[in-house]
Amino acid sequence: MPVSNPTLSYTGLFILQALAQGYRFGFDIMEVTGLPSGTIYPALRRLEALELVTSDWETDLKARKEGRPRRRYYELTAAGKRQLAEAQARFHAVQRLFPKRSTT
Amino acid sequence: MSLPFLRCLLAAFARVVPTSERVRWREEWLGELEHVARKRGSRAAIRMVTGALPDAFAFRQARAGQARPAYRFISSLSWLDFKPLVRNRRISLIAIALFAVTIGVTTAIYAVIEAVMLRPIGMRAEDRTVVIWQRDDARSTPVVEAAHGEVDAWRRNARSVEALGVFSSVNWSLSLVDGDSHTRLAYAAVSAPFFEVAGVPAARGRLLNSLDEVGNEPRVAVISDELWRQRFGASSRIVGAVIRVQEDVELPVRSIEVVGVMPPGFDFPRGAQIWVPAAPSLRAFAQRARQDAGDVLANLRVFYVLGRLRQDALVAQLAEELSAISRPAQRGSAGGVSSVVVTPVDAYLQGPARPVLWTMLGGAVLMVLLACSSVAGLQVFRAATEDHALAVQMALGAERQRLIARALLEGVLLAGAGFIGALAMAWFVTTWLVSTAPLDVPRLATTRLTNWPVALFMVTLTAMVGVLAGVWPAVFVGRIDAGRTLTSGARTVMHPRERRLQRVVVGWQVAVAVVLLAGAALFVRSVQALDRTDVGFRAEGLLSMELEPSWKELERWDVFYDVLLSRSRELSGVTDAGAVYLRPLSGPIGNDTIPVLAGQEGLGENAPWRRNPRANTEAITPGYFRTLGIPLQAGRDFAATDVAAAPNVVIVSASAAARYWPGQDAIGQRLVVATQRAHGGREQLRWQTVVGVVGDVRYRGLLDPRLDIYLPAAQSTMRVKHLLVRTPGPAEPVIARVHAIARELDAGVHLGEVVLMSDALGRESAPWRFAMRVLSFFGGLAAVLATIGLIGIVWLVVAIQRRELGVRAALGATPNQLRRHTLTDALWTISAATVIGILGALGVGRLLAGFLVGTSAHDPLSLAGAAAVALCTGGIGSLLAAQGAARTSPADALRD
Repeated sequence: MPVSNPTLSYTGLFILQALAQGYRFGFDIMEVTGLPSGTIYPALRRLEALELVTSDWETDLKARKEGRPRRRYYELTAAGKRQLAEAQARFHAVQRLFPKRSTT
Repeated sequence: MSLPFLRCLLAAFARVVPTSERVRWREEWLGELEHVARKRGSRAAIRMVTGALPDAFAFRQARAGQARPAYRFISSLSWLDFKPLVRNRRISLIAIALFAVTIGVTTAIYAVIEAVMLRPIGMRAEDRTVVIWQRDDARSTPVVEAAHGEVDAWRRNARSVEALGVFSSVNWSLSLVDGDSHTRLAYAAVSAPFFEVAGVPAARGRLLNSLDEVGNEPRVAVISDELWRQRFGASSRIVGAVIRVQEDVELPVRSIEVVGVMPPGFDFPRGAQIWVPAAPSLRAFAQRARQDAGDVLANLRVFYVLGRLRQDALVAQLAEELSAISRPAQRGSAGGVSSVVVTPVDAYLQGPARPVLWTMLGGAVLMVLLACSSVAGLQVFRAATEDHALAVQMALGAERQRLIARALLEGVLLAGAGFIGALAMAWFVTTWLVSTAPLDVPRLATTRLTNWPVALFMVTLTAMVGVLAGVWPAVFVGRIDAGRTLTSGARTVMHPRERRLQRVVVGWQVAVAVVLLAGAALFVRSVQALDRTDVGFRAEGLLSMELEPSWKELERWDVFYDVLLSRSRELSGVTDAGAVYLRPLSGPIGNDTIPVLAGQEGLGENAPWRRNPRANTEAITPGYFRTLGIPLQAGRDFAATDVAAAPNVVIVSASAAARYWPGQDAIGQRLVVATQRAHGGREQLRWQTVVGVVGDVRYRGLLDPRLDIYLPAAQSTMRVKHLLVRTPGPAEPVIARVHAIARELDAGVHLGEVVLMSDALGRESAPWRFAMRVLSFFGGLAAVLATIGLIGIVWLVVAIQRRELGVRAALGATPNQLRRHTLTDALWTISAATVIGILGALGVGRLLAGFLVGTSAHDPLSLAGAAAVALCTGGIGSLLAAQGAARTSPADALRD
């Protein structure tokens, strides 16, 4: 069920929570939520359009060191954090969804 | 799968993404791909890339969706949105079946109407072209044809008409002679302006012109495209070719030049294969009959008139004008007319098919509306039982508009699914309609489903049906109050307004069912009346065969029939045989004469006999009445001794006796009817004495009673042409043997129409039977739909008031009381709707009034019967549905 501001779909909620826990790249979010890439990416675009999420590129330096193209990472905006907090207040279980990411 | 291949795949997918975003999109995916491939291996990389395509499309749609909400809505749909349709499979299948049947039947009927009535008939100014004849109310003759000369007066004096041309009111027959072979052709005698009115140019050669109307016999003709192809092999040298024709066995073979060929599809008058100038034909006839040619042209009424109205003129105006012109000219003379009848040419061609087809289309459209409301009702019922789920979806943020749009879309999807079934249904019904052809309908055989108007009609109808069926569910979904639904814990939130709406919709279904059933009942009564109509003879086991020997001498003709009759009677399987000029129920053609009664002699314009009613005149052989089972009411039958040399005798029908000699004994009365055979060189007509009175017989049509006068064939110039054989067993061997005998007697005999009189009789009532069947089917289906609706009402009452019912049960209400409680709504609805339905049926009956036979549009029995059927099926359905309420236990009050 697609959802518009201010309410969230499950997918949207999962992604926000994953971002809050420090999973910032598409593939990492995929892995931790268990959702397929065909769901994650379109959902990220929607969240970005809703300005709950913003994106940027990792530095060239880091990518070149590992000898691969640079990756795009996502972050919660202030609105995104607010939205997530509201959802967490309503559904307490959300906070227990994913473990905090150890390394970034 | 190697990494480079996945990279190529991503590059290909990137084409989907709008150009402004493409580079960044590809870079992101490539970055992820490399990362995944390194960390998790190629399997994970492949899984990863499978998501790239949906993402690319999402990008594209997000861009497009900014501009168009409808597009965004459609692109946002997923399979889950339609899960309810699949979960409630039974409701969906019922809806699809209803749509398939009603859309299919309506399309089929529309296809027939399109072919028969809506396609242009190929005349230049079709909407202004009319067919004109006259009526004579004083002699109760609804159709009096016009004479050739009469039209001249009309043409001179009428203002509202541009052109007038005559054509023979029925097609005459002509033999095309080719060596020894004679082929019968249907020919139309027309005046030159006839073609001018029709406004259709010849495909080859020319049309008839005013010069062709000069002369004492026709010298030129125009032939039909069909005749040109079939008889002349579509020869390019047809124009100018001379053909040999013979109008009657008594006449010499004549040469006629073909001057033109009509284009394919020109079929007016219907069935005409060759058009011959009228005036020369009439002059030739006058010469033969030793009558004055001017008199025949002025008075022989054998034509209808084809006219073209002026741009601004009305049909009624022309009728008024022509009536005014005709009346003074006709006052007191023989063929008085009371008024002139003007009929638009399309109505003339379609005849009785018109009201039947429109009635059917009306019924079909009502059925479609009924199906819409039924499906809408089912959808609302489904939404009402799922309101909890809908409320949860809304609480989670589903947009209300989206749910409404989805409800609308569901209707369209169901209609779309029904469309596929409707195609099959339409094909089946069209095939059935065309092959059974219960009506003599022009162009019925050209009915096609595969043409633009029909396809457009079907698609439009389906779309409208889909939207109509979705509106009510959409309104219902739009009114769901998520907060109340979720907090009150009630199972169903049907707003009182919705319940009222449901009652209105079901009420309308019941009312339509009553209207359709009443219509069907009126046709059942008409068919009963037609079946009860006394045609005057026993049709079962009666076979009619048209046989015309090739000799012109009357005496040889007599001998042919004498021998044929006696040998036929000896055949096994034949109990009796007789012959007649024209068989009963042979259609509108016939020989009408005005008899001169004793004391009415005189030839003046105002001679009293000219006011006598016309009588259908037949020549018969002895044994004819016995063979047909026509009762002899007084006097005697003709005998073999009633020959030309003997005193002239006639037999009249009971109605004729009562009209010509009211209050007197007809036997022994004297009269003179033309068509007497000359005897002993005497040309003068002789008095004929009535020797018998027989029962009335319908010679023209089932609904066309006439007065009949019979002459012995041996005393008449009318030739018997129809052999009637009473054969209780199978007809085939008898037909073969009679044909063999006829050929043995005369190798050149013309073997014409062979028909079982029971079939001929059945054909007469076919249009009514057909309308009866279609309307009964519609009415029955409507009653079933209305009953389903009523059951829905009861179920909903039960669902809404489950808790209340439980409390009542706990307080000691008996099952009967519970049942009564839940039935109130449904029973009120049925009763009120039945009253409305009866009022509607009275209105519809008035539209059908002109087409009903032997019953009035307000026939109380039909109305009561329809109401009773609707009340019974609806009542029983509701009762069965209420059983659930009766089973409510106190525990139900505590559930939910």
